[in-house]
Amino acid sequence: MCSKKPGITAEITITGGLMSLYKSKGVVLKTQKLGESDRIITILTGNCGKVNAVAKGIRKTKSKFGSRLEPFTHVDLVLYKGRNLDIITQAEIIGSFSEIRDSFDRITYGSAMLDLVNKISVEGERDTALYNLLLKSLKVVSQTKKNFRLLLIAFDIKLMAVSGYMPKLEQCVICGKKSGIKMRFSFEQGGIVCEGCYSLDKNSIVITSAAVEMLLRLMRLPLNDVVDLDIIALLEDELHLLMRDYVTYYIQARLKSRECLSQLI
Amino acid sequence: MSYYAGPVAGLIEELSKLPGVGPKTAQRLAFYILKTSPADAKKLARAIDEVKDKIRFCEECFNVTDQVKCEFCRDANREQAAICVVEEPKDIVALEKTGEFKGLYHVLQGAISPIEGIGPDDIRVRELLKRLGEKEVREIVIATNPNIEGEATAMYLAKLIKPLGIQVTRIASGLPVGGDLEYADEVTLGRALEGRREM
Repeated sequence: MCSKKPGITAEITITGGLMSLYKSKGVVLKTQKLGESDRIITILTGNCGKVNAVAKGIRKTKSKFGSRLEPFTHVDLVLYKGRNLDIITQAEIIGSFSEIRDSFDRITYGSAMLDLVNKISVEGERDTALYNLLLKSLKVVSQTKKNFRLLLIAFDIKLMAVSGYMPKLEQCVICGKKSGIKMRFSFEQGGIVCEGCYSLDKNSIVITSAAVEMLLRLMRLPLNDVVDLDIIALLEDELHLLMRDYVTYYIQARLKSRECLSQLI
Repeated sequence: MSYYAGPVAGLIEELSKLPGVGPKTAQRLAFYILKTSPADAKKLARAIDEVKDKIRFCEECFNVTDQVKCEFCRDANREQAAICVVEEPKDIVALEKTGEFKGLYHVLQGAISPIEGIGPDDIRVRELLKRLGEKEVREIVIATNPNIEGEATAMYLAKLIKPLGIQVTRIASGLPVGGDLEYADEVTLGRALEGRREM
């Protein structure tokens, strides 16, 4: 377990009993109501992977937590090990990303990012690359005014890459032939397949060479530069659907946030 | 295997379906009911029966009521040109206690939550727009919760309603009365400063 690692546990004696406290920094991914006034907070932490913890009394107006455990907030936490769920005892804001809360587009696209990170991260398994990508992405989302959809596409491809699901785009996944004009994309094989090979995966879909090139470009480009890209709507539509289906295929779970994107924007 | 006679076991099972009630509490409640007078037990049964039978949603504002329209919508003395939008019927009670709002209400029965996939079609947004089309409304006060779902809902409604030429306001957020400034988080305190007023 994460708390057993040296450096992050502190065995503190409180009135004769032993209580295992630990500290962690993380981003709040999701909150769920629990009982009368509590919430279960899902946090992606830098040193303990995903953590589900209870914030007691947080729904009361005078709660000491205030806005500190709202989704998107980057927080410094003190928690103690519970039997099932850990309990949050203290929270301090490192970065509130409050600009996200001020815009409907930012909330919607930011939520799609949080949802995906929540589905892909594992409890107790540290993933520094994922954590850094999320922080960076939220920073960019909180500052941009446009190009949200392209930003989400770039986030998806970068996230798949740090999680080990980067699709192979330079050459055919099966025979290694360099990419040509008539290419298809195979979810099952995880990349592009050439004319000669695509009969091996009946479910492969058509992909334009412009889309392949753009994905490779988005992969390399830092997120703050993605915001300034200018691409045609048709290509963006193609990439949006492709990445949505690709991430859903690999995480094997429903991404509710994506389903309602079209309803909201 | 159940250790209790059928009806007792049945009552325990039903009670343990209630939120926050575990098997032990359910057992305690069941035995309490068993001990009360038949008249009291019948009263409880009747109350449950009645609430399911008679309570429905107000056809105007979707508050809970035992008539076609709720008491606020029926009251002609209330200001008809102002509508306060809330998430749940319980919020109306909280607002009424302040005595500060004299207009009508609209209960959305939820909030937009992009992360949970709850969109405007899942709550009573369409019904609100219909009301605005039918009646002369001057102001919409958005009183959804000050959390991410409530903010998303407020912004979505503002985007939709403002073009209709209706004034859209959002309840202020800031420090709770009786609290200490030093414990306030930076977002709340920031908003309190933003919304400060001249004395």
